[in-house]
Amino acid sequence: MKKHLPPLLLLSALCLGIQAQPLLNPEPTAEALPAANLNPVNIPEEIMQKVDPSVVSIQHEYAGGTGFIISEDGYILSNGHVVLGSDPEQPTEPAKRITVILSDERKYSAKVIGFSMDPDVALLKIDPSTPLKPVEFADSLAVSVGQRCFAVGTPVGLKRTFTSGILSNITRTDLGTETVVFQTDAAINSGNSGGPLFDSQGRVLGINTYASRGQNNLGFTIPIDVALEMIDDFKLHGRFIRSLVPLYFTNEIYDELARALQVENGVLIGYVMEGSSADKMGMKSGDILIKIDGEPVYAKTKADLLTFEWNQTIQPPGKKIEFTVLRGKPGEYEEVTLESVTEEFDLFPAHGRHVGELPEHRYATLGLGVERLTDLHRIIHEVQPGANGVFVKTVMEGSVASRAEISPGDVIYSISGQEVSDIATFRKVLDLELAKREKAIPVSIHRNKLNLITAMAPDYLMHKREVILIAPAGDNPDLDLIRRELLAKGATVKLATPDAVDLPRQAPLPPLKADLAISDLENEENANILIFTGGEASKTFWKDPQVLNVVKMALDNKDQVLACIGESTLLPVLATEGKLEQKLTLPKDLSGQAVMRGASYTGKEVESEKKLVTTTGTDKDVLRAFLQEVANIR
Amino acid sequence: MTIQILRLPLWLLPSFIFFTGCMHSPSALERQDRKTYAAFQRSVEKAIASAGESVVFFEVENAGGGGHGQKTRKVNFSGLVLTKEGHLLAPFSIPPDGETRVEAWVGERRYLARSLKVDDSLGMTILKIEAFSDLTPISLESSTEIVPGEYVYTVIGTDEDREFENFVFQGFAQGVVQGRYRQYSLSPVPDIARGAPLYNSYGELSGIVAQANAWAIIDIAQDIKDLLNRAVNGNGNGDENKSEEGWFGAILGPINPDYARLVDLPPSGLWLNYVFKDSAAYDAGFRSGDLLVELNGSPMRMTGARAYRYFLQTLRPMEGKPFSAVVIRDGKRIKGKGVLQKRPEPDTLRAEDLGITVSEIEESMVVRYNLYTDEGVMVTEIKSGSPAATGRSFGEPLLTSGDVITSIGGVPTPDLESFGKALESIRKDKPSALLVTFQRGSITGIEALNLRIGSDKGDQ
Repeated sequence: MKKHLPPLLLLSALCLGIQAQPLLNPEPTAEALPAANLNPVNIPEEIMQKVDPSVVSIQHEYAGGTGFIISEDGYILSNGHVVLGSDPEQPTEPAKRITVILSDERKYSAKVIGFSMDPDVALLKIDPSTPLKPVEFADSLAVSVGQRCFAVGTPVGLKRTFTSGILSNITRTDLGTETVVFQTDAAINSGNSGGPLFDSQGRVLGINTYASRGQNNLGFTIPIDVALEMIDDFKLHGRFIRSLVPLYFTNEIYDELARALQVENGVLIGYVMEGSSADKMGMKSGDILIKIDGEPVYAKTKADLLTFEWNQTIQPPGKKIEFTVLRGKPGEYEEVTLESVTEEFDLFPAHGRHVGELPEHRYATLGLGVERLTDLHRIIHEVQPGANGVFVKTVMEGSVASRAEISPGDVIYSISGQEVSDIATFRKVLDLELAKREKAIPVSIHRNKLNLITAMAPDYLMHKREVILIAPAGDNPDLDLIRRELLAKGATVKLATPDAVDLPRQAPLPPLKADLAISDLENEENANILIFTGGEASKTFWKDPQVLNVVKMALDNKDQVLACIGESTLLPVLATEGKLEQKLTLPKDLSGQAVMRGASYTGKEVESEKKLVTTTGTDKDVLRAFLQEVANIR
Repeated sequence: MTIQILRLPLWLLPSFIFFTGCMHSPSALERQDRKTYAAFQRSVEKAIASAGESVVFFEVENAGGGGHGQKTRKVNFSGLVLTKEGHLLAPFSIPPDGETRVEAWVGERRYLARSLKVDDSLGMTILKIEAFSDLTPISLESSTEIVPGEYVYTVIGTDEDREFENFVFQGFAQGVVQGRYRQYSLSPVPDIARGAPLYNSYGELSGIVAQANAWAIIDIAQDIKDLLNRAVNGNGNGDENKSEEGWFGAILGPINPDYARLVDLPPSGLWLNYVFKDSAAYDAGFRSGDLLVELNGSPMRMTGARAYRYFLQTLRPMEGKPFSAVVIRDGKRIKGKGVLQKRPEPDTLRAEDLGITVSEIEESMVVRYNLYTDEGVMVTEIKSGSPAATGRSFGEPLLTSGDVITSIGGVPTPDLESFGKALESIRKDKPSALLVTFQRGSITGIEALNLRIGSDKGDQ
């Protein structure tokens, strides 16, 4: 059964052992052989020279791959997995420091405009000093098996490599991808990912994506027409927007089904989710879809079905749509017309290798991470119908949550007797209970058909310690994480901002209320810990005499811990006349300024000496290690 | 039979051992030590005298995994003679299915033993040998307990490799593990000692060696006697053993101790997370969400997984066995009693034409497998190469275990009987493609099976 549910299918790709990336055993090259004699159709020199300047190498802090230029002003196509970051709590985050290397070795930092893991496509942008040479596109809907093609890329870290072959299959569907993919015998290895597959005239047929581990000459390529459909969404919304009438699953009508159902053509509806828009418009399991907006539709094979699905997915949301279905017993069908409007499809939960788009709210101190419960969770994890709550995504071993025997896949529906049907309520209730330092927090859970009750008993290592978080106005992605981890550690947390303005948080959370203005900080000598947050906006602190005065007082106050993140790590240096006594760490680009002022910079991710704790604040793990260091100081 | 004390670890012996040949006259203290040492030896002799003829040496063979060319795994351990007719106690679960070959050495004779009765909650089996003459059973009557720090002995049987000599191992009790059956944790004893009797320093039977522990005989003796009774009185075949298993009829889970403290409930209670209708627990008046705090007259003990083991060992579930329990519901204690029932066994049907075996759906299956409907029959087995197993692409069968078939050939199949009838009419009509609707997890599905696959006729 094929569904309007691409990530589920990825499981089958895993079963086949198809790997998106790590292939580290390059085949011995055939360079000793006279290639021209083996290869009856050489790719002409001028074609090679035509495509060469358009292929680029992509590198970042975690990995890299290949890409190709599609516009003079620097848009580049590649794979989603090539630019993916490494933050499991924020699967929409790309890698942070991406460098694009052109064929002439010029290097540019690149921005990810949008990316998707299925279809595995990314759009990047660089700002080149001179116009670039874009590729030409082939019509990937008009290809044939056996057609010659060649790939260009940087496999296994090797520089520019050309490999050639034929299109071995143009309707590959067994990999669990959302669209059909091409299969080629041109050698594709890890590092080729995101690179172009050209036809014999040097036009792009697709984006090389997968290779199968341990097999020879099985490479897979996303047809370029798929990628081109996604570019506008990336530019407008930063992500690919799927459109459909949720939520029904379809089946291709293969030979036996056609005979049993006594139909020639159409698409079988196998499942309609109760209460969904598809259900509301009157679609029923067993219906045979024969027309959409008066145009006949059919799927005899899985490839047909994927193409049918993809053509629905790329319609704009909000479009009127008319379905004509056959309903009734085989041989006695009546034709029924159903009308609806396409909708933007809900975000995907992470599902195995397929990285979703749902952010996780993780309390590492409790070892608990939750995400919004979506309809797909209900289907994939078989959540009991009607259950509402938040979905448990992570339970860390040996943690407070695991002691409470909470498991991934559980649905938490109540905390301390209060219903928590969505993330915002869950966060509000849990944060309040933590702020009260409740010894045990009752948690009610749906697990399959069982309703269970347990309790989390946090350790509250920072009990009786008062922390003031000092943040500049504006967005601060780390602030919420810092606050919730401190609450879970049992600290009393106050927020100080310029003029006590409230700070926005990521949707759906309401803004964070400020407890005091930065100008009031001078009277807060009794606070145990001051934490200055990082981020671009924190640079305003550098020249703020009030802030610098508070920092100086904290440095002089033997009973107060001063902790600084990212951009704020420069504050203790700036607030000190002469040499800062304690060693510290800073983001790399600030270290020069600190060293010039005589500070001892250690370059670690977290540094702590004599009640001064500093961190580069690079990622969530570093921030959490920093908070633990702060908590450890007595 | 000769008796030897072997491998007696010197560092474990009391400090009164001294070297002979000393020229000085023994002091009062030394004389006292000698007396103690003599007493110590006498107690070992006493232990061996009482155990000697009653200790069994087992050799258990089972084809480890049964894979081609795989070596048969042999395990040795000890056991006890329980009756003069040849009933033996083994400290293992050995199912009476005849697939496990068990040899028992009693004295210098080797017998083939057959398993009569297993008790999984005890982890013990009663076996029977056809003895040539009356055996000497061990007496389980004992009221001795061991305290941590006390010296203990165990006597094990051996085979011809070791000339059938009883071996004695000395150790000491390191602590007591609480539970339905208390266990003494021991200083290291060899694996082979498992099942052997454990004696205190006065030579009195105090326990039976488990793995690193020993069961307290005072706690376990009665249950062993009960097990023996059932083995002797039943006709002792495997099926009978299985059908005797009693069913309480609830899904249990330990209460979280932090939650228990918070709301002032006993931290060793067990939640009845789900009570099945028409079960013994339901008939006794218990309902989903009750907290079980007392069983058969004693309060529940232990927390976490151990609470569940305590429950099983206390309940000793056998069909027809009465039980009483107290639960807490809305802060009130509610008493209930009943008789354990036979676990319901759903009927199954093998549909060779489709290549599947299907089962009637019991209420407990709905919960256990998280089924979304009970208006159907559940697929329990798929025959490879059959119509149901042959999908459109490799590794993608049309039906899988756990699917609930709701109709075949357009005929609803809410139960096994209607499925059977529908199957009969299919056999008459012989359609080339059979429409099957089913529920898989939370979603419904429709497939068509090619019934000629796997038949001699081949596909058309």
